[in-house]
Amino acid sequence: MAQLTVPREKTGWQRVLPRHWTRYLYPAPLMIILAALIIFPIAYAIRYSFYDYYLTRGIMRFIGLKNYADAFRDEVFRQAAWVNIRIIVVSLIAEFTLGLLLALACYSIKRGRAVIVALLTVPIMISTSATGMAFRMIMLPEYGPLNYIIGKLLGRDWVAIDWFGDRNWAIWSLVIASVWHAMPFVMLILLAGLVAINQELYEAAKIDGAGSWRLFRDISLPLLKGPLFVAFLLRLIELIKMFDLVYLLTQGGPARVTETMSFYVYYVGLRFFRVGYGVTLSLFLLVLTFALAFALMQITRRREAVA
Amino acid sequence: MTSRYLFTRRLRAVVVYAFLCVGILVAVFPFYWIVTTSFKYSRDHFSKPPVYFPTDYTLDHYDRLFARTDVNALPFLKNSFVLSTFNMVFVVAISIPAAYALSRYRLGGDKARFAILTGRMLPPVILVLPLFLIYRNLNLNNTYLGLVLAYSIFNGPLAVWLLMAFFEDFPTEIIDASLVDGSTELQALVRIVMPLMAPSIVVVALFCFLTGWNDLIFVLTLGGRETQTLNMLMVNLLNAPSNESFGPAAATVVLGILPPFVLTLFMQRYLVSGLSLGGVKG
Repeated sequence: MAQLTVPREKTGWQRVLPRHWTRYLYPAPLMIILAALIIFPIAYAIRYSFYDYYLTRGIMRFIGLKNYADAFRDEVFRQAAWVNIRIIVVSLIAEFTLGLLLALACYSIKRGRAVIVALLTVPIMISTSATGMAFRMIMLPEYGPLNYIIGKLLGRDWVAIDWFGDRNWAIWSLVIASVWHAMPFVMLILLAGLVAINQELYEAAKIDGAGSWRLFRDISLPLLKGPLFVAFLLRLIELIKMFDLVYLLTQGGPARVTETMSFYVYYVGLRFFRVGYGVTLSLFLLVLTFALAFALMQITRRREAVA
Repeated sequence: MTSRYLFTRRLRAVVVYAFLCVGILVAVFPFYWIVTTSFKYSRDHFSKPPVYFPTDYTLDHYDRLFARTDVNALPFLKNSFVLSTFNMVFVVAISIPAAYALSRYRLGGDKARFAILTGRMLPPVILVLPLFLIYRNLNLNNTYLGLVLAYSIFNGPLAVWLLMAFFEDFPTEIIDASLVDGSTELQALVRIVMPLMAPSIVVVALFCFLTGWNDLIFVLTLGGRETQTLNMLMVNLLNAPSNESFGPAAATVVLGILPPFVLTLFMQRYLVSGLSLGGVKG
């Protein structure tokens, strides 16, 4: 109810504190929690990175910078980074090619678009864990349907691909599951971008005699740059963090050929409980992520300045 | 001339629809496979070639999850619901005031926004190991509180980011009017802004619920016997040595998919903006 009141006198604290100080109370709980849960663990990580600390054996010995020296020379970590890079490159190419083609296809049809989009986006509704589980079942070498379907497409009964046990194929099981899971997301963002493009541009270009390839190359593609960039950024972030699918599908195996950086850090720290080295590796990952975030922000800013 | 034009247009439509059909088949197949596996008899799970269209169905696997004692899914289901719900309420409660002040007064300016986004980019594994050590000292491992706090690291920034976008569209005149009428800012926020923004808040809350529901890494590392969620049950069942756990594993996956499925149907409209973090400027 509306109610008239006399402006109150300034009392006690109000005289000391800056004007509008209450504003800073609103974000305070969230900020305190985030700071406690992000800065505190990082400080912890930095402290333990100077120790040789095995949780299970109860050893804790100060060793200075040895963990850092080890991390620099760590072949397995380098290999894990390489796994990440390969997954990122292949997945991004596949996701964006398929996502763009499907978005264009959805955009071009007139009948049944809503239903088709809903069916195509089924993977979004399924969590990463469930995706992993589904592909574990589908990719079973002898009983899973995937090998039989590939066989049919090649005119045979069956192909003998050991998706999780073969060192050449294991990484592909990760790529396939992650592309399946993420492609509809890319498609949705691109489709939203396509729908937002002004129809009159196409009409005008058509009157000028432009073919459909020209329409795509000179109108759709330039105007899709924004959505493409957003989708690219978000997918890149997800793929760098990649952990769940590795845990569910291959556990980094066989012979560690599918270990991503996240999985390796988890493995060292929480499987072997080699805590000191684990936190050192996670600090490396942190610096890497920050450098990348910063670079991407710079690119975004420059893009905005140009636009 | 016209007929040839019509012909190529038809042909193109056919190609486009065929392509979309293949896409739909690929998108839906794993989902179909999981659902049918959960209803198939165990003998159909391991047959060569696989049974694509089972002729008889059974509720046995669901029965094993609930009625019998060997795999009791109820505690896992309960944990999933309790954790996701607590996490949702907690994150929304601390994010609403934060998003309000950040968008209305632009506190912290671009730096705050950058920090929020970077928080979202951190690989969880970086924090998991130190958190595990800290929680060990505080006896927070294997507790609801510990997991809810851990979820808020990644949910908080997401919720604030989404809510800020909604607050920016909210007419400030309404708040100013109620301030003139003598209510305090907090009262205005709770009694006037929040009811008007209820639909948006519900959407953000559902996103938070889903992030908690889908979590694997935190419950894997910071959880324990008393806080195992459905996701952990799936993993345990599928990694179990016996072939008999294949069916219950599929049934658990179906149970785990259901809430996200229903919620996403409700949120169709907000999906794109939500997934792209409330439309990062591009």
